[in-house]
Amino acid sequence: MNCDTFLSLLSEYQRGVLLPERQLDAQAHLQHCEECRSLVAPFALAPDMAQDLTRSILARTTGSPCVRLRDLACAFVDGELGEPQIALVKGHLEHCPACRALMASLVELKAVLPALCEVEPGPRFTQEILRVTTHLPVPDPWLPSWAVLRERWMKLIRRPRICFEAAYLGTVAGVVVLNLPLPKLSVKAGVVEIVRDARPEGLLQPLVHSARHLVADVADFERRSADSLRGAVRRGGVGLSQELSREAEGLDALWHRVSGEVIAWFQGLGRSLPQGTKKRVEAGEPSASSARSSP
Amino acid sequence: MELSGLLEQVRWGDELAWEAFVRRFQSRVFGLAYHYVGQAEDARDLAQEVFIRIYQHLDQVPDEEGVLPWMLRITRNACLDLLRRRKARPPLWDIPVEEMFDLRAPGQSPEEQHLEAARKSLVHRALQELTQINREIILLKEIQGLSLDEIAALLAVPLGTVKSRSNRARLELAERLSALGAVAGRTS
Repeated sequence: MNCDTFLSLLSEYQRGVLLPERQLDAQAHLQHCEECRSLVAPFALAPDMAQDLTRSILARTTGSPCVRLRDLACAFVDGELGEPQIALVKGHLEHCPACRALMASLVELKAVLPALCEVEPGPRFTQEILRVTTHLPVPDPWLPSWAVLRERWMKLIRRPRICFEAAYLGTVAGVVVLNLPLPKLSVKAGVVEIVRDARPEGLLQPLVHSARHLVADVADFERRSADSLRGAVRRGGVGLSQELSREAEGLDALWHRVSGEVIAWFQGLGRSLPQGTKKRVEAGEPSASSARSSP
Repeated sequence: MELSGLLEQVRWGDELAWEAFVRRFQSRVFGLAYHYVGQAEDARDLAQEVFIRIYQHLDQVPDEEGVLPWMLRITRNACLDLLRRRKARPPLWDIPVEEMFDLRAPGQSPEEQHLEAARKSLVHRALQELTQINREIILLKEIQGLSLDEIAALLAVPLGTVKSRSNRARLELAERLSALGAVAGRTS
């Protein structure tokens, strides 16, 4: 290494991030070159010492960052990290040989593992399988096998409704097995005979009969409805007239009472007035106060 | 030929379609069996047994999307059965890791092929040292490429467990690989 090369690597040398072989070259150059040594001398901290210092500071603060690197290593190899994290991981790898080795193994595994997917079993393997399977019967694709039936059954009983269905079926089975009483169907007399005869005229006759009944029922319903409406109107009218006459009597009595009160009041007023005023009132002349207030 | 059409013909018992089906999936089935049981002869027998079982249940072959997880499930169950039997009666042989992985790689030189095979053997050996669940997750997710949902259904574990286990399993495998690589580097 010459002086120019060393100067170009000086900042990295001072930060202690040179690759190991470059580091050795730089140290070898420094042993022989006094000028370069004088450049480095002011920075009293040698790279090894800087490493030691970093390690001791980390040991007394966060602990080893290798644990954090292990968390990120797979994502780093898979290219799933962002730029800032990539820079941090690379920064750590420059200084930590153990993590560098781990990362190298991970990178190698990423390349090698997918290639292990297929391993050739040998040239005669296919022939051996074909030889064995030629004599075996082929299952009929139309017939569901026992496994398929079993799978369908499992699918059936895994449904949430299966409890209700099982309870219903169990109830029906219990009723049938224990011969429990059931409500009887009500069938009109004569229907059984009609169905049993099953002749067209025999079937038609009850239909005509039923239709006649239906028409009569409708007519009867109309008549009853009309009567009911008429009665309701009549009752309503009578009630209304009675109510009105009652109201009229009440109003008449009220009028008599009020008019009696007014007449009595006027009579009382006439007795309390002076003689002149009384005459003027009786003659229809205005009083003094009303004459003042009028324009 | 498209997989859906192939499956349809296979269901109807077409011999040529069946041969194409076997050729298409045999390396996947054998690969999974080999990584599970770690022994080529056993894996070959298992793969054969799996295909015979599939042939006997052709009417149950699922549609295009479900066929691979279905086959892998059958393979896994067969492997677990064998491992259970083997646990009861351990085999006398050791696991011959280097015998496999002489894979076809037309573009590679013999030296590259050798290095590739050695690398795969190392990974295979590291896989065998993992715990059962971690190995299964690596096999199904990273190697067979199943989704997390499919793995959760296959292993009958919660999806969250598969997610959290996935990264841990990869890290564990990487550490094992580093350790094995260092040992191999020292011994070679």
